[in-house]
Parts: sequence; C-alpha cells; structure tokens
Amino acid sequence: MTGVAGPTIAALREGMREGRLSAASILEDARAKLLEEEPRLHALRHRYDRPETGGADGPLHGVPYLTKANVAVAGRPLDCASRILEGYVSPFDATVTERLRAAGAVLLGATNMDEFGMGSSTEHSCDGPTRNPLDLTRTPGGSSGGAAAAVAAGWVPFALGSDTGGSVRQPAAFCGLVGLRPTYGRVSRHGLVAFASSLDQIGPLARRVDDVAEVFAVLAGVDPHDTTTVEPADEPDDTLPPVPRVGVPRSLLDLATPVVREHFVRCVETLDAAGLRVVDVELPASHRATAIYTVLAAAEASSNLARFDGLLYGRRVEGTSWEETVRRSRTEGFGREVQRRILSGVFALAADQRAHYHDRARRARHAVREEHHRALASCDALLLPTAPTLPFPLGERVDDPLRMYGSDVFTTPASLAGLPALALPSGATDEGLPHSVQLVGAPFAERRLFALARRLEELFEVERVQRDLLRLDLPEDSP
Amino acid sequence: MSGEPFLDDLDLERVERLAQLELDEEAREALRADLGRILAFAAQMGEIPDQACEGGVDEETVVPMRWRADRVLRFEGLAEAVAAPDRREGWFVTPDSDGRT
Repeated sequence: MTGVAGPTIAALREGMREGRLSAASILEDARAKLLEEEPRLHALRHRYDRPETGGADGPLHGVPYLTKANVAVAGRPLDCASRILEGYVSPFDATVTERLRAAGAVLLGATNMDEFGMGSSTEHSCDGPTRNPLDLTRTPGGSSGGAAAAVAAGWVPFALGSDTGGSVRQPAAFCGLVGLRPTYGRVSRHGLVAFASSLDQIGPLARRVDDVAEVFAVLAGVDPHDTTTVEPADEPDDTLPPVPRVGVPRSLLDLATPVVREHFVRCVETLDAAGLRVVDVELPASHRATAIYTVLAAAEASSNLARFDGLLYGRRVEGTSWEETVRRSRTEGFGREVQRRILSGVFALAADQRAHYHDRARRARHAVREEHHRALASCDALLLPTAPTLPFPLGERVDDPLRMYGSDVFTTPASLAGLPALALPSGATDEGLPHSVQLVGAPFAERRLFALARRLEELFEVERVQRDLLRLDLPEDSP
Repeated sequence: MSGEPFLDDLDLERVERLAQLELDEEAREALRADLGRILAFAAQMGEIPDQACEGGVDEETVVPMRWRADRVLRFEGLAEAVAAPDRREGWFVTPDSDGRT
C-alpha cells in the first residue's frame, strides 16, 4: 500500500476514455482495496454489497465514492454511528446523494464517524474508532475520520463529510488531504442528520484541489427542500490578482503547538518568496471562537436530538411509562459525548441561564463574523493552520472533552462566520505525519479559493508530499 | 463568572429531566464535573468586548401569528378523519399561513 496516493477523478476519466479502465474495473479495484484494508482501518460504518450506481453520462460517471453515515441514502442504514438509530433505514435520498447519482458517481458505502458528528477523532463512534492510514496508532481526526481514512488509503478518489466546527477540514489535515467546508448555504443540508443547523455543511474530501472543486460543482446549488440554500447574486470568479494577498492572523498562532507553528511560519515564508503578498490581519474575537461554538453547537444539538426517543424508530428500551421509555432509550442509545453536549446545550438554553450562555454566544458570533469580513477586505483569503497539533494518538483525548474541543481552535472561526474554508496539505514531518494549512475565503468565493489553493498545491509540492507520507506497510499483527 | 460553575443536585436533576436522560450515580457525577469545566470554558466568551458584539442580533420582536380560518369539515368515518394529509411526491401537503399549498 502506498501513502496518500491513488488515482484522481481526472485520471480515472482519462483511463476510461482511453480504454485502459472501465467503470466495472474501477469498481472492482475499489472494492478489493476496501475489503482488504477495512479490518485494520475500520473506516466504514456500512459497506454496500450492491453499490448505488449513477447515470452513464454524468461528469463523475464510474467514479466510486463513500458518504458519511449521517447522510441519507434511500433504503440504506442511516445511523450516525449511534446506537439510538440502530436499525433505522432512510426512506429518502439526501439532495447530495441524488446529485452525485445523477452525475454518475458510484456509492460504495457509509463511513465511520464520531456519533452525530460530535467529536474530533472518530473515537466517539458507537462501533469503535477509525485508524489513521498514515499511522495506525493515531486518529484520522473527526468527525469525518472514516471518510478521510478511506480517501487517504486510496480506496476512492473522494468521500463526503460534514463540517460543523471543522469535521471535514481537521480530518483532511490529519490524513494529508484536501477538504472543503463550503459557504453556509451553498450545499443543501436536506438529508443530512442535523447536529447544529446554523453551522452544519456537507463538504468533499479528496487528494487534490481539482477533485474537491469538481465534486463541489456537482453538490452546490439551491434546493427547494432546504430553504437555507442560496444562489449568490455576485459570485466571485476564479480570477486571482497578479499578486494574490493572503491575510495571516499571527496572534492566533499562539494556539498551535511549536512544531505546527514553526511549519506554518515556513509556509508563509514560502509564499512570500514566491511573490504572494502576506498581509497581517487581526482576529481578536476568534481567540474565543471555540468557546462560542461550544455553546451554540451544544444548544442547537440539544434541540435537534430531542427527536430521538426510541418511540417510532431506532433503539427502544422499554420502561413502565412512555416517559421512562424515552429516558431509558436516550440514555442507553446516546454515547457519553453526545449526552455531555445535550446536557450542556439544555443548560445553555435554560430560562435562567440563557442570557449568560446562549444569547451571549449569539452576540459574540457576530463579533467573529464582522472581524472576518473586515480582514477579508484587505486580502484574497486568510491563511492559518488547519489544526493546532499533528494527528494525536488514539486514546489521548477521548476522555478529556476540553482537550478534544481544543482540536477545533482554527476551524471554528470560519464555521461561526459562515465562510468557505479549505484545508490543504502543506508538508510532512520526518516521521511522516502530515502538516496542513487552511484558506478561508469571502462568502461564495469557493472558485477563487480553489484558484489560490492550486497555486499553493504547486508551491508546497503536495503531490510529492502525499507520495512520501508514511507508507502503510506495518506487519500483519500490528494493533 | 469566576471559578468553575458547580451544578448542584437540583440543577443537575433539572437539566437531566429537560434532556430526557436517566443517569446512574457514577455517570451523573462524571457529567457534573464535565459540565462544570465546559461551562467555565464557555464563559471565556465574556472576554470579547460588548462593543464588538453589537449590531448582529436584532432585539427579539413579536411577529404576529397569521392564523388560518377555522373550517368545519365532515368526514364519513373515523378513518377518514384521522387520515394523514394529502401526499405529493412523498411529502405531506399542508397549506401555508396564506392558505396556499
């Protein structure tokens, strides 16, 4: 098995056009890799014996992919890696599922995740953690860790994740991948099991910017089933100025570990040497973005998860009354982290606490949003690390919620501001662990973000970095 | 807010009831400690100056409800009376506040 390598969408398309590959051979290869390596990675929640095939004429014809276990696929299990949804089968397709099918993509299964998207390591899955293919002793990040692991292992060229506070970007960073969180409202959430409705977005993970851009083009667009989707009136095009400007919030770098901080500084120097203009920006409120996010996400989650009660579907634990049945079903059905967030969310919304927590968080969110818009007026995109640490060992943070929440310090600001953000590999340590930087753009400026990211892909030699990342060739009896 | 908030038994019981959970003693104490730390962490929001937070959230205003006119309907039997609304393409069809569907 190689490092983060494998065919891109364009390579698969070219292979089919030249007759070297067929949709059937691509599918067979993907399934073989998946079956061989899944026991060691545990990246899947559900493998489909019969894949969901798409149209023959679409731009993604024959391209295999995986979806996250919180995205609806009609007739397939939809359980968000939670016991409370045990046995639940979705009666409908998410809009993103429909669009990818129409584009010809072939869906092979659903990936493992932190339960209901609550986590940064995929260790909060009811079914056990996923391992990072670059180092099996480390997490792939979360909550879209299964998606990231599957793409990094070369099973499929892309996978869908969902990003509330960083759950596409951070696992992309931990697995040496490109991951996009779109502008809030660009991609329909219809069929995504809600965690925090003002923050959730579906986004693709892939090995290259071009692949992420291509999948995004299929996913994006107004959907009458999701009234928060919008068609931008003035969508920035992909034209970069002759001297692109990147805004760097240097004071935020204190939130990173020394090894991440030093690498990021070298990245900035690379961009400066290449002729890009580095602009200092200030994001003072964003130092507290994770605190704001913790309150808002928990409050919204406590409301969204109130519907899971074991009465109509999913796991039911009988009690002597319907109220007791609901309490027992929820207590046994939800994992510890989900319970923690529901309780803190309920507290933040309680009548006597709401002003201190939830209302305060809503106002503070405005401060984060405004300072981002001010900063983006002086640059083409913000540049910051994606995660404050390198991929951490399995078990290191799973019992320490605050330490786990700390993984999101660089991703929660863009989530709160509703802005598009892209994680991009930027290098590797001597031990073969990936570094990652994050570009944050203006609202609806995904195309410009992709253009800038392509420049950085060349400057950071991403293709070489991915090829050289630690090879997954551990002995068969490795844990 | 100084120090780590402590949720007393009454607080925890109330929150547990609102969350529709039924925790055993060990889980309750572990979650009490976690909640205290999480709430202390969340209180860092207070470090953002009030001025920076102004302007984003409108004061709550009361939006008058637009009620549909009552209608008296006759049904042939109980089954018809309790039947779900019309369906279209897998969705229930219900009139909006303007009476349109």
